[in-house]
Amino acid sequence: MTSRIMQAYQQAPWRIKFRGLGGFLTAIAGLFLMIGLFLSISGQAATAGLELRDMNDQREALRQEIASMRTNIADITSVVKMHARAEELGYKQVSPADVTFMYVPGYPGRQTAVLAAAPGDLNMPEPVVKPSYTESLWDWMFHGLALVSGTSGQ
Amino acid sequence: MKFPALARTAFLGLILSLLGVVVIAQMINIQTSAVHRELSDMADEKYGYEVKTIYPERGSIYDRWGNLLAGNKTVYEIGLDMGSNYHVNSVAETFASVFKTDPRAIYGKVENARIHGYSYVALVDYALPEQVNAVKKIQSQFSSVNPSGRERSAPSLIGMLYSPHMVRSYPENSLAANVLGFFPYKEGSSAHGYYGVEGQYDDLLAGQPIQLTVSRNPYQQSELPTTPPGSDLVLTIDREIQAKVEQILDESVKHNGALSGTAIVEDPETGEILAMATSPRIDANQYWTASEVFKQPTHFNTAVGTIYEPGSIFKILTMASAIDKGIVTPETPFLDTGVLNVDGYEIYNWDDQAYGPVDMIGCMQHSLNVCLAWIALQLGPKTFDEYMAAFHIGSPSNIDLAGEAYLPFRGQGDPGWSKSTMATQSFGQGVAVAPVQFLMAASALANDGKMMAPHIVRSIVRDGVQYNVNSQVVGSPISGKSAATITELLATSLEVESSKALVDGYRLAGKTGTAEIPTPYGYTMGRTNASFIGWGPAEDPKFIVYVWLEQPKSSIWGSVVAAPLFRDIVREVVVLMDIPTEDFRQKVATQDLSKQ
Repeated sequence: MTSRIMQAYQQAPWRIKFRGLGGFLTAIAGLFLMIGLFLSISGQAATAGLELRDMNDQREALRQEIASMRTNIADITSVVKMHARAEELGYKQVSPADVTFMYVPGYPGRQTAVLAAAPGDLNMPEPVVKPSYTESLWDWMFHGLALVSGTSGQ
Repeated sequence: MKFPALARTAFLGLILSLLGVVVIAQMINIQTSAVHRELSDMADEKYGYEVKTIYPERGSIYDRWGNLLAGNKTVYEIGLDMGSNYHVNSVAETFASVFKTDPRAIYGKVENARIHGYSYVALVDYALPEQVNAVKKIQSQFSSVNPSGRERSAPSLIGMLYSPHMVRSYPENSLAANVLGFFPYKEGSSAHGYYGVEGQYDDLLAGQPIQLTVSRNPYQQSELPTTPPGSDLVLTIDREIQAKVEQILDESVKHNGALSGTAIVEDPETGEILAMATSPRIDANQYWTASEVFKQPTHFNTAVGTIYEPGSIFKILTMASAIDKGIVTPETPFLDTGVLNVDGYEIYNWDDQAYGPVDMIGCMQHSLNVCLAWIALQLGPKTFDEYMAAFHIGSPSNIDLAGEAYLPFRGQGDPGWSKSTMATQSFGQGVAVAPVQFLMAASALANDGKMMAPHIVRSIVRDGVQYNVNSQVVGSPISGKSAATITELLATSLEVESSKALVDGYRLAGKTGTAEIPTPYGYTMGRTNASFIGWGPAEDPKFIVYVWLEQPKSSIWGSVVAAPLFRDIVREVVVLMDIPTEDFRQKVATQDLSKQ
């Protein structure tokens, strides 16, 4: 079989040239494939970068919006406006002489504002984003292999 | 000569390959040549990065129950892209209708930007979201007719740019403005808080700005670090008490024709300021009106920034010192002849009358200058000065509010001192204090002899953790027994006097004060500072209230103008603080209602 192929090539030398050309074109095609792949990944990376920039801006805008809404709530629940609303609803300011006191056993009284945890009371929340979303491909592979081989943490 | 087809193809391939090599060689040249690298570096330096300073959100301020007193809100800068097909007429007319501005001002700004070749011009800043929405609505209407703005005869608002940014906002407007101070947001990034909490805690509220070099290259984007906001503050102020005290004080100042008014409500057990009201005060959202409202900067918060001779309310400290030293008891007799000569200086009572034989309750009831001067002489200069130092008279209270004023106490050995100095100081002349300083001293009488540091911040919230500020004992100028004795003496004195400060259902201790105002030519006639300090319930004080009316016109006497003001405030405070009447408390104690 091998000798028959050799003979065929000797009888038609253009086949050798075609083979060379085919190899060259295959190499070119491979090169273009790689370039295409590179351009595609680059494009995606650039898009992701621009999206990240937009998300940074969105985060800032949201932060401002939240602060603004908090202030708006405070504005519509301010002393003057709440008193006006109470009057509209038919409530009257109590006269100190009309107040009736009542002893409520165990009632500790109104508690002052607690806006955050006290020092030492902090339970750190679990990270929301898994490490596989933030680590590099190499780190991910390395950790995965280490996990499989059971050497993680040794 | 004829080339075979394959040779022609090979030749063409060679030419194209050479062309490719040339292109690649040039690419390598661009990447590596010094000239090109220099150009690339220059472009990178100029356009590749931007330096961003991220200012953290300024910390919020809350009252003791968590009601927001100072926060931040979004406003907008509206500008024009000068490279767009803008229509200056449409812009000017729209702004005139929405912002009530002079259209000529808009024309001027746009024209100036055009002449100077600016790419952008800011037309309006601090626009509210409602105003921005109004402009956007008009813009949308114009856009449906003239989408690109190329039609010059049709109106268009093309090229409008809206940039949001944050400003300080005080949702309660003028409430506690003297305590909060203000943040002049129009000064931009160089702004600092002034007066009050905004001034005192400016660094904490402001947080730490971060400067970043951010790449413009989309391949080099990364998440910007989160800037931690400034610390939030929870005040000791009770919004409801503050609002009520301000309302009563404003009415009193107006009714009595006083220049200004001050009222402070404090918990004597902790030193927490529950309300600190002054009249007049500003709306902190319009901080630029401060210079019109206050002619002197110290008047922004008279409770801490203004010192004055307190007059007869000072007698409670002299009497407390004498009781603590064992010089007098409430029953100690005194023969008031109406005049006392101290080193050739004659001291008279406020009404130039002689009251004859009285005890110490009578001395306080009739507010006898002669009696108190005699007590000071019995104490002696050294002991008197020691007690005044123990009460921190002449020293700042160090309350955590910006701009506290104080005047050092003139004691024995100081220039110009004589025994007559001490004698007049005993009834509140020749000594000056800021209201908060006298309040701190008097709080010892209402708190078993322990003087608590007055403070306005209850907690600081930073990085998600709330740190509470502990109450501090500044000193114990008198014993608990002496404090109880002087409280009982003052309560009896008010009852015997049938003072206008009394409140039905509650036993209160207190003292009125009428102080003539010193001038370079001596004390003025007819112009006084009227004050009252009192606390209650007498057997277990839960509040101490200090009021001061500056130069009231309806009456010069503290007993006529300041005592009713104190009463009106206490009437509301006992309800807002859930302090039951004496009858009810006795009922609980005797019948033991707690076990029912």
